[in-house]
Amino acid sequence: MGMIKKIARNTLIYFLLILGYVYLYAINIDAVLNPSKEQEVKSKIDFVYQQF
Amino acid sequence: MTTLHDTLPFTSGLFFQYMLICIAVVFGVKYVLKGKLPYKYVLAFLTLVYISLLFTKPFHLIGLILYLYIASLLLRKFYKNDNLVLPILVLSVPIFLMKSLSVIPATDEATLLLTAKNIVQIAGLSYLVFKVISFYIDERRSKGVISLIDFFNYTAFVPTLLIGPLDRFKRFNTNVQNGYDNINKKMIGKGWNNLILGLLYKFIIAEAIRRYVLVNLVDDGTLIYHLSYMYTYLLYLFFDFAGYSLLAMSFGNFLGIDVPYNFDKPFLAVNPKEFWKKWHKTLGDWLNDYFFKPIFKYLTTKKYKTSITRQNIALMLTFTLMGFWNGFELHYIVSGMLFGLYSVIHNYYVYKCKRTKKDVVFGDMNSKMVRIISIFIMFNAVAFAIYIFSGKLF
Repeated sequence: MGMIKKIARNTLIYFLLILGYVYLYAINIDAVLNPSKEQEVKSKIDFVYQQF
Repeated sequence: MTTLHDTLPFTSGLFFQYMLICIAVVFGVKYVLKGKLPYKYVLAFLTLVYISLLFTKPFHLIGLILYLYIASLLLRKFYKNDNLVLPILVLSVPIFLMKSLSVIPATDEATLLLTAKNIVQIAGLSYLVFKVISFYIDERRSKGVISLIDFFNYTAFVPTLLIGPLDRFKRFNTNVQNGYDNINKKMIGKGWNNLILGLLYKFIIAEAIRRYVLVNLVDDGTLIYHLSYMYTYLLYLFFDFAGYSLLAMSFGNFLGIDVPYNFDKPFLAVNPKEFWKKWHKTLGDWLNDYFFKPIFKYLTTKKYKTSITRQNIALMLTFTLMGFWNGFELHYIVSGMLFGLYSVIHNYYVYKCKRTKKDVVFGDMNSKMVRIISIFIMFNAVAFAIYIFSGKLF
């Protein structure tokens, strides 16, 4: 992989990781946007690891 | 809330703290103690600490490992027949018990059944048994006794304990024998890259898909809903599972173990054969080596029909077995059979192309176009099979 491509890829990964962390975990955006909405505490999906 | 004795791999902050301590210990022994403590004993000790303090059922897991060790030891010593059916059945007893008990409904009165379920339902059991089957088949002719420490390190290696990637004993043990030499700049760099991508996949992308799309889909019974669920679930499953596998690889790398990769752009696969080299690759390879090939060989020795029929029967049986392994519920079995059917159709297509010396479906179409159409068909076929697998339809 070329150096520029590698740098671009890593920049994107780190950017998304930091942005995602801030958005999903650091600030609870759901609670900020919808303070009256009951927060979900557990996944409604039958987690795939159940099979193991 | 996650507590001690309830910490499965990569499911809580506590697990990551444990892994960081493991890495610190291994690095400490390498650089401070100059590797004076043998690597395999340090690895076994750290694994034992995890099982004793953090794993859900420590005694059950230790018991299972001992059963599999003794069974494989006795089979290697006393069973000299080339037929592998009996050894595989003996080693698979825990899986059969777990899967069959899981489909029997238990009431409060059925305390014996509940006790039996409690005993055999151990997280990571299937993968552990799969590892031991490959261990037995690969090592049954090798000389000498394989020590319990080596067996324990291989079967209970913490990062891959729950859902793989499925490693092979010989490859894993070579890494263990290299010991601290494997903890080098290259491996750490690899581990770091896997860590970053794994965190992004599992904790950002998969979590965002789940939180903002999947759980908000309203089941109004329309086709649009089912299609939305199908594609979203597929993406969620991919990012979650691929992320998990990358994290397992990453912490394996930090500990000096070059864990094999599991996912490699699976949605660019052009046919089922390529798909299983890109999606859950270690399971695909395992099924190929320990089920498809022996079944095909058996059918060949019995001179059963033509080669293409033998291949197709072996494919169907292998994927049906995969379905049963996922669970004895109908949606798992149908999903496995569907994957088998895809492989049979593709196999027959390749056979026809070879026989007629032309592409019987695409004719003279431009190869780039053929590739794009193949990727599109494969992606949708996989999405449908995974949708069945999800249990949403029945």
